[in-house]
Amino acid sequence: MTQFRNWSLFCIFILLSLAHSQVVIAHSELIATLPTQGAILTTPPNKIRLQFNEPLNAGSTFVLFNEAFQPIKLNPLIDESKPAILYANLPADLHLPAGFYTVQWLVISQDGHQISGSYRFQIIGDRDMEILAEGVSINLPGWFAWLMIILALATPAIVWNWAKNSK
Amino acid sequence: MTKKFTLSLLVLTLIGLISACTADESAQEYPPVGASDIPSYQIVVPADDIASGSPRIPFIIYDGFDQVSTIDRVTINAYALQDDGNGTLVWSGEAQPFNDYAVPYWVTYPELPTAGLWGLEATIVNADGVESEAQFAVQTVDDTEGPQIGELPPASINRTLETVDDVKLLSSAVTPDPALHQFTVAELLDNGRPSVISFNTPAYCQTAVCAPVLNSIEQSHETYNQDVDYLHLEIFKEFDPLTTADEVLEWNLTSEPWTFVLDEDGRVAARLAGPVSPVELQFHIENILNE
Repeated sequence: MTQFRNWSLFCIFILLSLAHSQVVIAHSELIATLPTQGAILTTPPNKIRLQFNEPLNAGSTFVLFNEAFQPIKLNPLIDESKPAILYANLPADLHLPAGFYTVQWLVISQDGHQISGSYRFQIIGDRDMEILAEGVSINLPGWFAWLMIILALATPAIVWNWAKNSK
Repeated sequence: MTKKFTLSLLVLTLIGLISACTADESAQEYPPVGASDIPSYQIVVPADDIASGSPRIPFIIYDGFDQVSTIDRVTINAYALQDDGNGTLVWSGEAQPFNDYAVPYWVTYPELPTAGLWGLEATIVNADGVESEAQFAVQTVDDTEGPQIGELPPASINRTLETVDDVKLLSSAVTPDPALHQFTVAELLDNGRPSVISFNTPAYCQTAVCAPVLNSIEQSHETYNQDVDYLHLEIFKEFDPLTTADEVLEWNLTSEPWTFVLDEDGRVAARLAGPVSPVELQFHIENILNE
């Protein structure tokens, strides 16, 4: 925790909160996140998505920062079709080195309420992966697991039929 | 027949592959290789308008999306986030827990001497002795929107049971306590007694963070009413449609709930944004009574 650079994004983030002047009366609650809270990833996520319990107002945003509070430049947006969701796509060429990352959000609900919170996830390198493999079970992503199941079920039947036909 | 069977299998496989690859993203998770054995907490700060100096910063710790009451100790390190690219550790200290509230919360009073952005690092030790870290940032300002510590707040002439017959017009509580609607702010500033003034609206903010504030005020009133005067001010002067109360505008409050403890001279001794438990309120009242 020795280097801090380019925290202008933080200032923008906070200024947005100061711009708000209406009295507020409720609390938006975070109900789901991607990546999940405390997730350990081998590769950086391609998207960060926060789902709240109610639609959000303009000005809602979040900042991603590393362990040294250095912000990662992102462009968070409210999902137009699902306004309770705040998301940002991470550029494919964005290099996030191994380490802990904190998502700090600040949201303004439709009645004008402002509240902030944070959670973090971890990206691990190869060395961390070896350590982790000793103590943590591997959870495959949903689509990959389904692909494997389908292939596992279909392949023997296809091969059996192909062999039968070729006799 | 055999060719048809093979073709059917291939088509089924393809359909399965397409379905799998185009499944609703919301039903998936990013590919975490696992979750650490070390807890990873969410920190929520239910307060704004934070003054520089030694401000009160309340925070709630969630494990996932659940409240946590099994935290043993929280140590806060505060870092100044400077423009020159260097961060400096400016303060370290223990946060104080308040478990006598609907949602357990913690309070820290870091030394943040100037207006600006501060990085806070929380080292959280749970009841099993497992230690983990969380980070969050806060912005402090020199000139707060609402009354600051040491200031005389606006001498509002709010409605009381002297001017309004029905207490239900003064409070959105299910069972309003008439004892909390006896004074105007102007009277409290002038009567030479300490007071507690709380802005909240229990019917229109029913979350576990803000609704129980009025319960804390009522409990405290039962204990200290001989020495301290109490006033509950609603956020709204009309409930249908909701119309912001004049006092809220005069005090320049931009959020709720807010609770202020005033000393016998009417100056702000404590400004408490968000949750306030009976024990925390007692601490501030005892401070001014023992001065």
